[in-house]
Amino acid sequence: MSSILQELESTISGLKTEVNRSNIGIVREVGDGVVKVEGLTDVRLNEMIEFSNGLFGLALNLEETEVGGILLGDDMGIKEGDECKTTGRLLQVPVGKGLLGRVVNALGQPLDGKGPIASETFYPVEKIAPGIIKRRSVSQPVQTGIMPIDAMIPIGRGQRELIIGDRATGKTTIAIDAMINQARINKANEGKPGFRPLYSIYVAVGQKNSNIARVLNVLEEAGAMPYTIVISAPASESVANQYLAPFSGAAMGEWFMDNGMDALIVFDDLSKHAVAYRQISLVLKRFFRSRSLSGRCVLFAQSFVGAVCAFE
Amino acid sequence: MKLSSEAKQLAKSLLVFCRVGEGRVDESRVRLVLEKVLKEKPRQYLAVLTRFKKLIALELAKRAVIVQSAMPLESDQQQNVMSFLEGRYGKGLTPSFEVKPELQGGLLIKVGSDVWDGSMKNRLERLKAMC
Repeated sequence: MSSILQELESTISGLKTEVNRSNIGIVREVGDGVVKVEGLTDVRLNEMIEFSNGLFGLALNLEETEVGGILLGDDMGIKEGDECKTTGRLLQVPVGKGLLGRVVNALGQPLDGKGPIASETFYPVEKIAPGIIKRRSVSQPVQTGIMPIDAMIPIGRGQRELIIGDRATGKTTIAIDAMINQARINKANEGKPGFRPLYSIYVAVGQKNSNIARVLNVLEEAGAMPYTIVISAPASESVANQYLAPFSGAAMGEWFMDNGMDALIVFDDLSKHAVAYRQISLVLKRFFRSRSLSGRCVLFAQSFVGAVCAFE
Repeated sequence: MKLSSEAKQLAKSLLVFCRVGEGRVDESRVRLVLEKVLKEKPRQYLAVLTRFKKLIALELAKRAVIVQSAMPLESDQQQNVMSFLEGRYGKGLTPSFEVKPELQGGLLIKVGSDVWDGSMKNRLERLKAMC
């Protein structure tokens, strides 16, 4: 009993001396998932901002007189004159094996109704890519399970591969087949010494919900879900989430890389990501590249030999 | 009004001219700038002045201090608070003291976009969040 009293006393005495310091700003403009804030003099690039209604945003533009950011949620609850404050934290997503078999949004929050994500580890969304020196040459193949591809244009672990084609020509099917094949290989070799499983991360950006549901059905029917993470940022989601989803996928893949495992990330597709980025950039008056070049530059730099393999 | 980068640069350099020791804005220099610009009327002078006004407003907001307390502060208490703040933020702060009974006790100090919340209300809320 006395220890509880001591604990209470120390907590209360700690509260007595502590004065909360925060750095605040006032919302001047809001719309299209983008917010402009005056103040926030201490904010850092890519830092999370907390709004008075509990919503979070991400500071992307640090200008002379204002800060431009994207809202990680619905912008209807925010109006001009609202207060917001810095958090001192970078945007992070949960990573780890607890995500396997789950469907999450761009922030790593579950969408499949299977309860909270069992993950203690978090990775920043905007992580700096490993340098050139750390990289090894491609030495281990990734079997897509499609004979002509594996025979004529084999893909390696740590490689980036573009799947280019007209509409409805089977680009997604190739990626899904590769993921199912990896799950089959993982299942067959589970527990064998020296075997490095290849986990799959499917990032659906700007697609129809029905398409994502169809892909999920295929993966479940083929028994590939226990080895797969699905990140869903459909067209109905905010542009901010569509913009962030591939980065979240890369962060989740990097956890496997850092822990001696391999991951295959499918970005389906980066041109929708580029559209989302273009939309944000136009409102924030930022520079942007045409088509999906901006996303490719950053995301493909994250791909790491022997660890993360990226498909688009 | 669309603002060109030249106008922005000119407004910025005018602001730099108006700054004196510790980054404070000197009123007489602001008046001098206004007089000079209106007399010489450089290119896009209206846009320059609008931008200049915004920059000055932001600079003044940075030096504005709002001290809120549950009870009115004595003059020596006010001086104590201001001398502490001047030690931290430099001279030239513009104070205003407000009484807010809902704070229940302690002080809430706003300096520009910094907020120091040592009010009883905030402490009780934090205690509530911990429980």
